[in-house]
Amino acid sequence: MTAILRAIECAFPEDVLSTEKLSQEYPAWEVEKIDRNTGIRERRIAAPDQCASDLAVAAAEKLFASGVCRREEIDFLLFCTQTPDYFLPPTACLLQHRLGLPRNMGSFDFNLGSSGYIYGLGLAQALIDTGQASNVLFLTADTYSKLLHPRDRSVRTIFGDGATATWIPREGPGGSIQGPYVYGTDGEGGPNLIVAAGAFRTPHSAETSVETTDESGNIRSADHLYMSGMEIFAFTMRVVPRLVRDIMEKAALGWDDIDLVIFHQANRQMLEHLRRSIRIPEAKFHICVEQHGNTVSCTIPIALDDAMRKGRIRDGSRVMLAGFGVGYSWGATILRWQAA
Amino acid sequence: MSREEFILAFEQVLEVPGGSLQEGSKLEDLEHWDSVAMVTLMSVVEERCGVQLSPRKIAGCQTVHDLYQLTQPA
Repeated sequence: MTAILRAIECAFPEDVLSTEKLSQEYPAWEVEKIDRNTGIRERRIAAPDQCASDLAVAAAEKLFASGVCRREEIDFLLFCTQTPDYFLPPTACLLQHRLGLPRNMGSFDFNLGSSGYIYGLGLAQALIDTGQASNVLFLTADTYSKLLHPRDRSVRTIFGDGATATWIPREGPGGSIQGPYVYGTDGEGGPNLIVAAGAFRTPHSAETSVETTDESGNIRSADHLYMSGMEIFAFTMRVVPRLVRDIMEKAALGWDDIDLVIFHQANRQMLEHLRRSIRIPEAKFHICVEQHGNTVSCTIPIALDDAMRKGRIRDGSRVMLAGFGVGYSWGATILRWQAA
Repeated sequence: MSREEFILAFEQVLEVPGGSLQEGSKLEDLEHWDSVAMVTLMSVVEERCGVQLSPRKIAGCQTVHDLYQLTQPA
């Protein structure tokens, strides 16, 4: 008995924010130049009344419509988001009701960003391996667009909204979730990717909504998302090569044993730089940022789904997944695909 | 990486014509010296010299020469 990653479905808002559209809006931004670096051509943006939970519902409904699983089979719901409907109740509880899922089922939210998918897989495996659950529905969804100041180029060119639904039963064909796992945390980096105001440390006030312009001409207030691109870049350079080394050591695998590597899809520049510095063979490295940008906890399942659809994952394939970002938080695991 | 190689690489990062930068050029006068360029420079320097530039130290630089100094082993 082991946890199996059986199927993934993704859902996105309708509104497309293309590079052309951003360029027209802000000609001085040189968006075309930025996008040559980031590799991002389009981002999906949630409607004003569309929450992460709405996107998560859409992704889950696609899973049910595909026939791969039935609502009544589910006995645990995990929901990874940083943009919940309310401070409370947990969005996962509301999703139980909206999706018509059984009442004799556990569910909770967890707040992680780009590392969230790895932690969710680890939780799902732990629940299944210890007999606490048999069939886990793991949802990720975020609407970072709602946290961005419209005139902050450093984040508007990067982030997009989206949701994914992963079906994790305890048997059947798919990606075997057996670990090993490597996890990491460094809260010293918290201030480098943060929405500083709006919770209880610094509640919303007239002061937190005061807009300031940084040295690059980006405008934001404490109510908006702030990202120090340079600090985040330096963090990934410090942490990810070691993360990859550690997971391979723990799994006792070499590059010949790994068929595909899927990192959190932050942007192409960062991914390519990591790939070269870790010396990951290009043919084993999957990049999928063009259409959706950085969707935080959704990028790994979106890229995994993309790789499956493109036939890059076959029976026997070993796939390394690694997520890293807000927190700082990071994690990695390796999945093994099996026909039955 | 020599001074000349660094200046050439930095010109490529900024997408400015070769020969337009001097060692004494002030960073605040460079139109294209923004956070995107900083990240790109960090990536280039790490790949070519194996040196990881600290964002705080980059922020403390005034001239092209100051940046070059950061790429040299301590």
